[in-house]
Amino acid sequence: MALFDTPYRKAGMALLLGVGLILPLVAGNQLLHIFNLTMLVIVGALALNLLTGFAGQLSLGHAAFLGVGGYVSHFVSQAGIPFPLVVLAATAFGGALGFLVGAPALRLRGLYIVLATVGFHYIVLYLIHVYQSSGEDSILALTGFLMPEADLGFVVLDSAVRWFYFLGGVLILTTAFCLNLARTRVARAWIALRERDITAAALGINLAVYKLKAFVVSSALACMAGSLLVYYLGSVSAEYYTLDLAVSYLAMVVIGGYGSIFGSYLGACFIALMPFFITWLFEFFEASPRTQVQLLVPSQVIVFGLVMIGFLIFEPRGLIGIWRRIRVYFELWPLSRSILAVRRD
Amino acid sequence: MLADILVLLSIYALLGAGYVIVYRSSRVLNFAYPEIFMVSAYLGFAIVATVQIDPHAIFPVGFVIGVVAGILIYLFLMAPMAGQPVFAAVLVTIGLGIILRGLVYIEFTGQSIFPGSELGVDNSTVDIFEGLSITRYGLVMVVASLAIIAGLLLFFRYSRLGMQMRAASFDPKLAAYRGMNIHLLFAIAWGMSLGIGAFAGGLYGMNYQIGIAISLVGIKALVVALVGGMDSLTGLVPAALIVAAMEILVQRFIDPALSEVIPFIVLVVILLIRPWGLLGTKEMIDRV
Repeated sequence: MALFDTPYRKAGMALLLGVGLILPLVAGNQLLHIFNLTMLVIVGALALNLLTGFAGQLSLGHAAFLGVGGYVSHFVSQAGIPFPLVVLAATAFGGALGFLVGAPALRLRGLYIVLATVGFHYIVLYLIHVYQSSGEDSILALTGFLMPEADLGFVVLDSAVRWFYFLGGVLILTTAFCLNLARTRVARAWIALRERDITAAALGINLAVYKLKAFVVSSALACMAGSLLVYYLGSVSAEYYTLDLAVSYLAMVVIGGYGSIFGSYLGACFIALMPFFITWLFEFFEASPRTQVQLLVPSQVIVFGLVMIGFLIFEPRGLIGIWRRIRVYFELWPLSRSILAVRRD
Repeated sequence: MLADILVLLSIYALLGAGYVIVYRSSRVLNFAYPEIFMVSAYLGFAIVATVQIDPHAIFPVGFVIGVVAGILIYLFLMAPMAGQPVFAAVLVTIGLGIILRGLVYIEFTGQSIFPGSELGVDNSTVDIFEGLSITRYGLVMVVASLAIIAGLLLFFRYSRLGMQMRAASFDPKLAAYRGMNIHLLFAIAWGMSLGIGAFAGGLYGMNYQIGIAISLVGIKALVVALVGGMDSLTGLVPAALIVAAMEILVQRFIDPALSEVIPFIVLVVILLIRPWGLLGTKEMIDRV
């Protein structure tokens, strides 16, 4: 396990795993639900981080990819195919879709890719609406479809605890995949492409191939996350996949820190938990139900925007940048103050 | 139907001009523009409704507020981003748009308002000639947008300030060496852009209605700006004509839901075959 090269890392991972195994036994369903959602969001954020953080291709099409994952799952599951195969099918479809979207994007760069992904988002959303209203039932056209239960064969994922263990496993596998990918030639080529594409090409990196790979891998992972999400929520509805959702995933990558796996964790937790935190604040200050109804959602939106702008202006390296500074501070502890002042660039 | 196309065309061209002015000066795509358009529509209505002045004050008041807001946004949000990658500045505008939307939810709870009927202004249709009748404010919109775009063209071509702004966008460093205050020039560009956006917001509200959803009009106008060429004011009118005509035609003859997506399909197609737009500068985009 070259990923955990130091004893501290090994100990840390063991501790994390231990906490994860015990947690469902002590935490209530409400808390587990929050954890489950956060883990799903982290998988989605990791997917976007490969494309945006590593390969430097800014994308606002992430909500659309998640949506495709969800709707493909619904379509495939209609045929009575078991849950694991449905997720695999959605992942494969996502890979193919990433190829389809990435191929035209080869002609573009920078802001024009953002625009292309915005166009992609609205087109996919339209197709989703068409699919949703194509059924015979007119109520389903408005509310969305119900998903079957996630049946793994030997166990049915019907409780928050079971989902917690399952999603924990998925998250560990995804993280291991991303961490390993980050050590390969592919990820190094992506980083070169992000930093300066002309130099990368001069170094012998085939830009078109690696851009395509970024789109394919990111899209496949996103569709997997989308598929798991609809199974977890138990339903799939077009209303969920807004441009704001895509923005919030982009914000996770930005706030966490570009091109850092751990940063994606931090960013995803930050963005996913913030609404719960604000709700808790409202309850803490005993806001009247009327104020809650009026102010809760808008204030979540506003705080989200403020946090995003604040990070971009004051801490462009994101939470991972803060984390690294803190680590350096403790590593150098008695001597740290002067060094910290120098390293603060 | 021709009138519908004309009015939609002019609103697209007007908002497209707002994107183009900012893009050609500071190379930033202002993703907060749709929200600015929406907020100014709400704000203009709120001011006129509370102060009890002539409803038409919405236009100059909106314009002035827009100009001031644009300069402030540049100074406090965009100027600090100088030297950072462009996409960081673009993400800041996205964040700004989100904040503005949240504020509208708080202040107006996102409900739809019909300023035309609430303020009691006359928005009856007038017949231009046989078969072409258009609402009064629709007519104002068409005339105003053509006048503003013509005025902008003349401004950038002949006036001293306009020439300086072009120089600053062409090569900011060289312009700064020559003694131009490029921050001031960029701030003016942002002010002009947001002023136009606020003016358009007021007009749009008078003619149709105000709601959270009208920011989608602003996003479609971004498509128009891109189709025309992100740095080209002359490309706006033909681009707006293409997008508006296709949208209205599809809405009438094929499927209203599909018409909402038409601009984005146009966007993807244009990006594939001619990413620099109809009349944009070709060198600006380099491919992989």
